[in-house]
Amino acid sequence: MPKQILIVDDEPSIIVALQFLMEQNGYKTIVAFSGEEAMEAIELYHPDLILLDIMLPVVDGFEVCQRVRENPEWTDIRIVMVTALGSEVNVTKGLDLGADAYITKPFSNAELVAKVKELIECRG
Amino acid sequence: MPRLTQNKVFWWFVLVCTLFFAAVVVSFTLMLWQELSDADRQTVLALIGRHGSYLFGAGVLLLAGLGFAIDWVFRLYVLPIDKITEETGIIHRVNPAHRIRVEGSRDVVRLAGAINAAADRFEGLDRSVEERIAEARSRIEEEKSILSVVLADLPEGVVICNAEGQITLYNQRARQLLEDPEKPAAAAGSLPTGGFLGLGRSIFSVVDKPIVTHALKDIPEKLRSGRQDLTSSFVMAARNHRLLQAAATPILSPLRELSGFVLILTDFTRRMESYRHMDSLLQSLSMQVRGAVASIRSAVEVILGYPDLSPSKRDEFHRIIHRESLSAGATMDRLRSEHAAFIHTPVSLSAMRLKDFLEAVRVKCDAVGGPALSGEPVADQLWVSVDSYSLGLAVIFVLQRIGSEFGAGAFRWALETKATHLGLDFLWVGPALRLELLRRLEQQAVAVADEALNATLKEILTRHRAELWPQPCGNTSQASVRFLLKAAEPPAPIALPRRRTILATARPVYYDFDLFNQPGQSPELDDRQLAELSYTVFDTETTGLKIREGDEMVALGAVRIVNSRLLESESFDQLVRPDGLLHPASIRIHGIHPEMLVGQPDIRQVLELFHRFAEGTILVAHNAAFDMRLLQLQERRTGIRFEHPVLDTMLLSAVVHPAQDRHDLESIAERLGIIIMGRHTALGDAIGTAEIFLKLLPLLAEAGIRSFKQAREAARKTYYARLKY
Repeated sequence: MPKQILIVDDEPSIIVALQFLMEQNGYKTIVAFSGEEAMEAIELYHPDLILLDIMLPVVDGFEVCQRVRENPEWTDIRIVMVTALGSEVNVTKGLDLGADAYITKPFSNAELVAKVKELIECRG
Repeated sequence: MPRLTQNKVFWWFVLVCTLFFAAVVVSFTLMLWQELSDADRQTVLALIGRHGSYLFGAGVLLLAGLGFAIDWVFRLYVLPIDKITEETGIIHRVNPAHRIRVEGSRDVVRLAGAINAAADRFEGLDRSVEERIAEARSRIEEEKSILSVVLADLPEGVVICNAEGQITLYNQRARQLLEDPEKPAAAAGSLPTGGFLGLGRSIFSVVDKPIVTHALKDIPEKLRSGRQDLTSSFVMAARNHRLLQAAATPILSPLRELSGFVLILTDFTRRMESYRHMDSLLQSLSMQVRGAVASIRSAVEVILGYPDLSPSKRDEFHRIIHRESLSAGATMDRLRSEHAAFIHTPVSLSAMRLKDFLEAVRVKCDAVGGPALSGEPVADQLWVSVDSYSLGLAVIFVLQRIGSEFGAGAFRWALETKATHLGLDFLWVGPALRLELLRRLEQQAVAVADEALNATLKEILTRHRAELWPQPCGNTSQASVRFLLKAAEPPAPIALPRRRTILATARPVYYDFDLFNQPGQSPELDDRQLAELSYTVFDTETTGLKIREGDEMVALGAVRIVNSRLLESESFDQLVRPDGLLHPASIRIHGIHPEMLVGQPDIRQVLELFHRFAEGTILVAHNAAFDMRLLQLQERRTGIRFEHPVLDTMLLSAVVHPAQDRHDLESIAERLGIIIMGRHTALGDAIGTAEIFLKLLPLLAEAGIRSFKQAREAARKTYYARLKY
């Protein structure tokens, strides 16, 4: 059964690219445009990995990350923060809140795919 | 000794005279009776028995005569002399120009004449002494005014306080920073939101106490360790929400103890806003551009990495690249324009009417023998932000060079208004200007006649965000050069007092170092000396005189007295929008027309503000019963209680001058030699009342009334106190 990846971003352009990339690499994708949608999707599909943007309307990526990490049933979900917020402070904050990786926009597709593969395979 | 009223004096006089007369008659009768033999006594008794009615009649006539004599003496001698005594006091204590006008016996009138003659001489002497004092004082004032000019022109706010935080000096800038609301008042009649800054007031009504005390607390330690730099800097939010950068420097007594402190304030709000704005601009720049670039890069890498992409998918990625690159471009454009508008407003430039700028350039050009300038009239509402001196020289410099290059002796200006800029063209008859010449000029230092700037034309234009180019004129014989200048918003109008009320000798008002030795305000008001208390002297104008029947306040004016000094600059002058109508009769008196009240604040807003203005002071008014009643009638509606102690100049005047019949504002003012300007304006009358109050203080002291309690009780005892409104 293919692994599921939840892509959370409010920018449709980047979602198209991410979705294409992930599907090309054999993953199934689910898309959410906001923090709330992301939480519903996690509840429903329990994805293996989340590509999470930080700057989302209302509930932001940090909060989504925190909520996921607070739920013991979701400890196996990998979280990759993919964001334009590139400062040291934000990277640290994201990782401290429980993200497994932090990728700053713009990123190289190869790098992102490699990171996703590494995390999913590591999970087994 | 308590002063007696005229009536009491008269009846005492009658009683004393009658008793004396009776005593004389009775003693003579008794002495005569002792001398008489028994037979004589029998004869006298028989005579009295027979002619008693004659004797009784003679007695009554004698008493009546005595009564008339007493009245005559009282009216012609006693009363006038009492009045002379009082008015002599006025002459030598308050108003040397006052002269005694009295009706009475010839001797009394002669006495008054002699006193008036002496008063003439006294006035002359007094004047020459005054002149010498004034001369000496003016030298000191001159030095003070240099200091006050320096203080007034400082871009920083300066506030000096004593150790308790009472303000003893401040400049206008400090007042703006601490009093005015952060945003300029949008509507007419909007009121300040914070506290008031004023001599004798506490600085802590406008800034938070802990932050200032915190800044000052390590001073003793610094002093002990012998440090020279005692100033501490901090950023604080004033009560009007402005963000201020402050430097607190202690003032030390000769014993090196803290006796006060100086606060130097600069507005930090703008700078802070600018930092914040810059920060969010950068944030937003990097975020949006990163987002767009990320989409573009991913799309490009997909296209490159998957050559066998279906045409529709490839097309979708092409559209993403196109859309995101447009969005990145638009972001950059928006940021550039916002950034430019925000950062590129040059600080050293000031808004000036273009008309005035051109006139100044024309006059200057004339003066230095430059080309003649003329042009279309310029609308008043066109403003430019310029450093008029340097840009003016730059314009003349350019025109002179063009003049000598093309032999043009006259230029005509023309204008073109753009959205944010103004095109200022100078036209001449002759060949067009080459850009090369302009470029050369731009590299030269600007110099006109013997005035040279240490800057090139280019630098001056850059400083003004201005541009210069040869403006094409089509197929005419004319040529033109265009200065593109940044248009400016007209500066906010400076609020002028509604009606100027003035005092002949305006002294700088911001000095009062005596306050350093003032104790803090205490509730033991009654024992405090009148001369050392703070007062708010106020007056109101109303829609009519029947306040019980609903007449309302339309204006409230007030000034402060601190340490026996009238602080005219700390005035309160506010129109009030009433619910009802103005009576035409009242309009004739105060000159406030209904249209002046449109958009003014209502009574609740005004009283709230006035309550803050009068905080911690004693209220003083002329015929205070009327004004206090007016305030009290509003209590239920506004919920604002005026529980301040009150003094009434009408009653105090009656206390010091019981022999005078009239105690209205005009009569007292005339008696005390005060000219009230702006009579029947709330502020004018308040200032007049304050001056009267200040002149009454020494007279009260003379009568032994020095403390607040004594003044209050003396006022209560006067006849006028029984009048109720």
